[in-house]
Parts: sequence; structure tokens; C-alpha cells
Amino acid sequence: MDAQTQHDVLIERSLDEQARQLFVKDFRSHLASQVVGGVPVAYYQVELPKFVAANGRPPKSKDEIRQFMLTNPYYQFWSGLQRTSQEMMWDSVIDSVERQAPALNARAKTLAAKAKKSTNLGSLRLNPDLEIPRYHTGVDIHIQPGGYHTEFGADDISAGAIYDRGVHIYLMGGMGSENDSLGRISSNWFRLEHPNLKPARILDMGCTTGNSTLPWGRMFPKAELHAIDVAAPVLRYAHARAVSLGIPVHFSQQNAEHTDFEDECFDVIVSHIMLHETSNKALPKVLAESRRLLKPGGIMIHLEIPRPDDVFEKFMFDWEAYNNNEPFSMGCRESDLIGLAREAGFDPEKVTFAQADAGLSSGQRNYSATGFLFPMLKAEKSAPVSQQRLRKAA
Amino acid sequence: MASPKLTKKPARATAKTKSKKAPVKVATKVKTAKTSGSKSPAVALVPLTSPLARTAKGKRPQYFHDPATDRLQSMLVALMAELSVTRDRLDTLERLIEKSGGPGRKLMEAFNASPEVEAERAASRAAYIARVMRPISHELDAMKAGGKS
Ligand SMILES: C[S@@+](CC[C@H](N)C(=O)[O-])C[C@H]1O[C@@H](n2cnc3c(N)ncnc32)[C@H](O)[C@@H]1O
Repeated sequence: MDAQTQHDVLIERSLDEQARQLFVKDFRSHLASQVVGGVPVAYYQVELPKFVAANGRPPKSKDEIRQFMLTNPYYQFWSGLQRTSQEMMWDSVIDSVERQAPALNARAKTLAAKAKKSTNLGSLRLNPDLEIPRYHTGVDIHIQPGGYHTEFGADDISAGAIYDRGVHIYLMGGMGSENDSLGRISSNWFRLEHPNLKPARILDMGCTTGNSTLPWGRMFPKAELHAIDVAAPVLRYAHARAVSLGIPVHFSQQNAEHTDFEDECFDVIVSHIMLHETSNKALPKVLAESRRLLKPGGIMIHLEIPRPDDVFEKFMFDWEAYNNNEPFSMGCRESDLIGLAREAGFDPEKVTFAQADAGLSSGQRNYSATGFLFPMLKAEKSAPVSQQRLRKAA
Repeated sequence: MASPKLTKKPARATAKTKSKKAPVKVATKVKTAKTSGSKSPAVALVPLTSPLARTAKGKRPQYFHDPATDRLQSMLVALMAELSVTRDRLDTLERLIEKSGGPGRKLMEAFNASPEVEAERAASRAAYIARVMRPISHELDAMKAGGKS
């Protein structure tokens, strides 16, 4: 099954490229539904009893679990297969992108030129001088060769083209035909919680291909929608994609730790699985920047990767940190997001936390048998006292 | 079930030998996607100036006691993929022949490859082998990067 929405910059696949990509997708589905479920069996039935017999107690932490699971043959074999499937996923997509890059780059240029002449197709603002943060240049995140930021020529959009197709295979289509389930989750939650708010300006941080940005544009077609990322190739791609799909978005190349937007200019600020790809130092800065940019009464929502409670599940979700170049994912998962939001200046009473079930099927859950819950940190910037009174009076 | 849009152009375009050193192939024509309403005239291609990266920066974990086992495992899955690709291709072919009322199997058995066809096949086999041998080229890339990658 392959149902990714076609748009002007989505790669076309030759017969063999398509077959190769679908193999990887089906292979990953098989790992998720038939193989990874054996890891808890290896743990609970083989390794845990041995550990308890030797130590007279169950393991205290995920790190202790990791120590003995690393030598379990079943875990080793699954782990190796999972890593290999991730490598093959990128490789199978890069084949198509490399073949079509000259045409894709040209098409993106044409779409950008078209947007420039129009007033309602959004815009693209790049900053070649922007420093790519160390947490991106250190290793290629989720082993996408070249990461989000590397350019292989002028006006290159390859990284975006690779990511758009790759991510679809990564979750076996589990993010929906536009890879947009996370944006739908956050925007639906926003509307549920604030049915009467009609945001005039919205910002999506760490937008990559704009996949989670567009649902906000669909929900609030009258809002001025902005999206930022540090990486130029994904932004060029995102812009072309948004023009092609007909949702106006203003993309700019900026670091979410400190942007060039004015104080208090957004009603809503969101991010989707961005924070865990930053760093210990950057995360509080992003929250502080969100606060600076929010109008009084404005709302921020940061959706993050699953953070299970169970110690064994924690060990399972750490797989990406150790095997998929997600160095900060552990630090972020352990961080007290609510506390950090408070430290960033948000009123403690206006900070909330929720978890959303992304509705993934067993063939789409890479690391967990129990489910994928995406945590969301939400905070409202308190209005100055005078405005609060006005609101009450209204 | 929405079947994927496939390029009209046959896959041959990609089946040429793909060595890492080879210059990046430039597509010959700009195709506008089928779903796009914009019938913009063909624009100048924007080729890449270097091949896309194939090995991610960052150390690859070792899963087994003997690193050779890691390589072999990856090669095995790559082989699985290629066999699956071939089966899909064959399936497509057989169905097309059947659909057009041709003598499918018979034609296939009687086929004699010309030297040109043999050359094309050799090139596509070389690309195939390179793909299955990917784990080795990764190791080589890592060694070349002086353990830095
Ligand atoms: C996993 S992707 C997010 C994908 C997308 N938002 C989604 O919902 O699927 C993380 C993105 O955040 C970007 N990013 C990371 N740190 C950033 C920062 N400090 N400022 C802006 N963008 C950042 C990365 O370049 C990358 O494109």
C-alpha cells in the first residue's frame, strides 16, 4: 500500500525504485509487527529472570537493562535489522532523488518564482549566513546522509525531497498521505482547548518540509502562517511543496533559539518533534524565544516524541538515541518540560501537558508494543493585568 | 488502493552503472508532475555539483561480537530487497504480456539477448552488486574519513 499525496516536488519512482522503497516499507512493517515484539519476550522471559537470580532485585534503570540486553542474541539481531532498514530506507529514496534532482531543483525554482509574483502563495526567505547549530553538524540526524542542511549544489532541495519520501517509509505511512498527522493532532487539540480563538498569526518552528505546518493553514485559512527551520534545502522544498498544495506559508531560515521576529507578534507558536533534535542548552532558549514572540494571551504548543513511563519501554525508545543518531532524544525525554516552561517565564498555572495517541497500527510502531503517545507541552502567555480585566468585562 | 504514479520513462535510465565517482546524471527533460495544474514551460535544469551523500556522519554501532556478522546481516537484507524488486518487475512483465494476449512464457524462454542487451544487463548487474555490497562501501567510507565519520 502506498498512498502518499502527489505534489509537484515529490519524487517520481521508476519501477525498480518504487519496488525497492516498498520493500523497505514492508520490511519495516514486518519488523514492527512480527519481530520487535520478541524483544520484550527476550527481556521478560530470558534476561530478566537471569538478572533477578543474580542480583536479587529487578533492574533499577533503563541503562541497567541496556547493559545486559546488548548481549542478548535476539535483541542484537533485531537491532541490526532495524538499523539496516533505516539505512536502506534513505538509500532507496536517494536513488530517486539523485536521478531527478536537476529537474526537481528547477521545478522548485519555478514555483518560487511564481510565488514571488503572487500575493497569496506564501514566501521564502533564506539566510546563507545563518550558522547551522553544532547539534546538526555533529552527526547526521536519524542517519539521513548529509542531514537536513547539506547542499549538493546551488538551489538544492535534495534533503527535503529525501526527507519527504523517507519519513513516509519511516512510519510505514503512519503519518498520513501528507505526513501531516502531527500537525493535525496539535491543531485539533488547540481547537478543542480554545474553541473561540481565531489566531491571526501562527508560527511553526522546525518545519522541515512543512508537513505539520499545512494542517494549521487548512484549519485557519485566514491566519498569516509562518514556518522556520535552520536548513535551507528543506525550506526550499517546503516552499515549493506548499505552493503546489495551495497553502500559503511564509518560510524563513532561522534558528528557533533566537529569531528576527518582533516581540509579541504571534498568537500561536507550535513545533512538532523539533525539541529533541536540539540540545540541552538550546531547549530552554527555544521556550524563552517562544514566550518573547507570543502576544499576551498567545499559546504555544510543542509536540514531542513519546516518553513512556515504564522502564523497559524507556529502554526500547532509547534505541533511536544509540542507533539512529538522535543524540539529544534521551536528554529531551528526561527533561521536565513543564518545569522548563515555567523557568522560561510562563505562568505556572497556564502550563499544561497532554499526550495524544497517533493511532498507529501494530505494523507502524517501530519500538513499542503498547502504543505511541505523543506528549504536548502547552502554555499560554499571561495577558497583562489590564488586558485581563478588559477580557473579563467583555 | 491508490496505486502509485510511476514514471512513463522506463527504469533503464537508472540502470546504468552507478559508481560513487561517476558524474551525476542529468535528467534530459523537466517533467511537470501529472497532478500539477501549472503548465509552465520547461526551465533550465539545476544540476547537483556533487553526488548525494550515501553514508551518514556518525559512528555506526556494532551489533554482533564479530563485525563481519553486521556486514553479512545488512547484505542479506539488501539481497532480500533486490530479489523482491526483481519479483515485482517480473510480475509486471508477465501481467502486461498476459494482458496483451501475447505468448508470455514462451516468448520469455525463447528470448536471445543481443550484445547491446547483454551490455545493458551487465551495467545493471554492476549497479545491483554495488547495492548489495553497500555495507562494505560504508566501512570503506568510514575508514577513509579516518574514523571521524
Ligand atoms: C524531525 S524534524 C521535524 C519535522 C516536522 N516538524 C514534522 O512534524 O514532521 C526537526 C526539524 O527541526 C529543525 N530544527 C532543529 N533545531 C532547530 C532550531 N534550533 N531552529 C529551527 N529549526 C530547527 C531541523 O532542521 C529539522 O528540520
